[in-house]
Amino acid sequence: MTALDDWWAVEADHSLTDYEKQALFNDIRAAAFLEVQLPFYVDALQITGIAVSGNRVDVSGLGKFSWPLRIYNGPVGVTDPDGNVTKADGSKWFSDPIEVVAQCIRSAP
Amino acid sequence: MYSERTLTTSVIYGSTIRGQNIQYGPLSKSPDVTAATIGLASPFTNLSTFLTTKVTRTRFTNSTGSTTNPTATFSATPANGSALIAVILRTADNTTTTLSGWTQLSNAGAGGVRQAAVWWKRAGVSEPTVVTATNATAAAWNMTIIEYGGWATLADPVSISASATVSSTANITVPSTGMMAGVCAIVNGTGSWTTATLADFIGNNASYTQFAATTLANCSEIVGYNNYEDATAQYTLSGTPRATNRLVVGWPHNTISGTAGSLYAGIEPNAGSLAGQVGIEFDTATIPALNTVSAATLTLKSGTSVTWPSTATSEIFSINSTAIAKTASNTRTLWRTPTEVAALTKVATRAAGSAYVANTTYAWDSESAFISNINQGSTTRLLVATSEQRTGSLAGSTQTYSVSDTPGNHFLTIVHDRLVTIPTVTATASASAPGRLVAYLRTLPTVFGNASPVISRIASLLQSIAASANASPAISRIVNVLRTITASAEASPVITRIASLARTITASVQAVPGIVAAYQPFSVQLPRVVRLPFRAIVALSHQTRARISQRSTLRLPKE
Repeated sequence: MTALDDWWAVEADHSLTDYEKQALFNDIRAAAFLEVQLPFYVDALQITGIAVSGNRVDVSGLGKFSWPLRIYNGPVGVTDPDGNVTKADGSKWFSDPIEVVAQCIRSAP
Repeated sequence: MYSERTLTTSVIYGSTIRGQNIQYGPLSKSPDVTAATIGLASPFTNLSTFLTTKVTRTRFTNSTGSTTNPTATFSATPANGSALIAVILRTADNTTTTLSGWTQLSNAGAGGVRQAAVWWKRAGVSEPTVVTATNATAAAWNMTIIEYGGWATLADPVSISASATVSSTANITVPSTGMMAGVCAIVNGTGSWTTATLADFIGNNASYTQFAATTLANCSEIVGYNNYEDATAQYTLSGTPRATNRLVVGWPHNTISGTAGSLYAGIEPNAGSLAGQVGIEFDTATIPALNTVSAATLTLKSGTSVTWPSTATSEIFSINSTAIAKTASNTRTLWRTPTEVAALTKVATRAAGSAYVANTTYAWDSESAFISNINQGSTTRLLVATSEQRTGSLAGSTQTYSVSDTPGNHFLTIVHDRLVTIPTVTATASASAPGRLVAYLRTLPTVFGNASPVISRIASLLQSIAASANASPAISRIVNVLRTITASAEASPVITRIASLARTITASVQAVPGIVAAYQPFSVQLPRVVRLPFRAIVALSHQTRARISQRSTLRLPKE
């Protein structure tokens, strides 16, 4: 089971309220980001720190960027045709939270 | 004291998404409402009217009996063009009920299973008020006839959830995809369910009206949010399970269109039509109102469809004051007519003819107005539409695109900064023979007290990180009050007094070569010279032992 599997299981559980889902998402997110090995690189940037609090992931690093990067309500993986996890609808995902950080960094204006 | 700007990049994933496709309901294209129905073709005349038109119930009648032919009578002649619905619920189930001139939408009933059937008809000129069905056998029946106007005069009703058998006490939620307005019915009977109720699905707050609620039958109307959005009915059954039938007919809502997992924006002018707008909500309460937003980007994830408008531009508009979440209000909210869209502030675009791959994230091009429409300290809401929906012009081909129906697949990236006033970062105090020097530091590094030749006292009050008090050559007193991490107080060659009050981690007090008086524990085996002032009294308490050894000297006054 990957963090994404856990995430989707919560997502599909219609017996949960939005509040309960959010709390479970927060737990899954915290566990997933805890596994990330630091430092790692996103393009020319070095990611040196990750801290998770509630629905927020604080990412610190070195390089030209408006640090810190703060991610609110973020997922634990991103969709990608070459992803290593397949959702029930057939879409492919990267299960690594590093991809989430990379996506957020690359989306920055 | 000085000020500086601190930059932060916040990425905020969507919290709510709503899509509305006014032309037809979910996955049902027969019968659908074509572009011609609502006048999307030039000159685009009916769209504005359509967007504000709801399904409206004009009247209804419920009758019960136990004869062969169920019948009911409208209180007035139905208007020409109205949609008429007739629901017949019977305890006898092994004969066919017919309703001449009406079209049956759904029917189920067999030996041992009670019958639920529904018909509809477009009212003509001088439509009869009396509606009579026929059946070969007598049995208890419950008949409801309803007249619908408004949007129902343009679109035909469909079977949303076909009549089907219920044989357990479990709650049954129908339809899972919701509806604009619908008539829901379940047949009951003595000796089976003790209750067979039908209600709006918990939490949805759609409006709900009961036409019939007897031990035999329950027939109710559910009207969706804002009349355009989804409602979901739930049967609650208790008592002894017995096979019976339930059904839902009406006008499908338009919350989700096309392929599951996708919401569509744009207009398709041809049959099988789509005309969607999507609202997305982001919780930007985490961006303080006092901060200055310097950049903002919207990233949307495509749905399962790969189509992208060839001539229309994707346009994103600010609708911060528009609620996107479901409400019990019956007022139209998300949908905008061309005139209304044109009055909104455009915050982002994506060009016609752009590449678009399914299940892929794309960053939209931000307009300069985007940063001022980030609703700092509150919620930012955006309308996903097209240039056609703003101008009212219409291309001959489909100009739609899909986005994921999962709000967390879309995100806003916001760079914001804040003017921060820092009380003191580094303090340097240089003085020529001041009597006293006091530095209060709240952050980071070091306080230096450099004085020549003499400072009588240095007091450093530091709250964080690192601190040192350096004095040369002579300071009569240094006081360091440190709360964190590292502290040192150094003096050379002579300090009258050093006191370090450090709470954490590391603290050191060093003096070379002589300290007159220091709060250093005497357990530290360092040679010390302790000079007592003239006429000093050294009182040794009970059992106190003073040891003078090796090269120590004790000089006492001659007296």
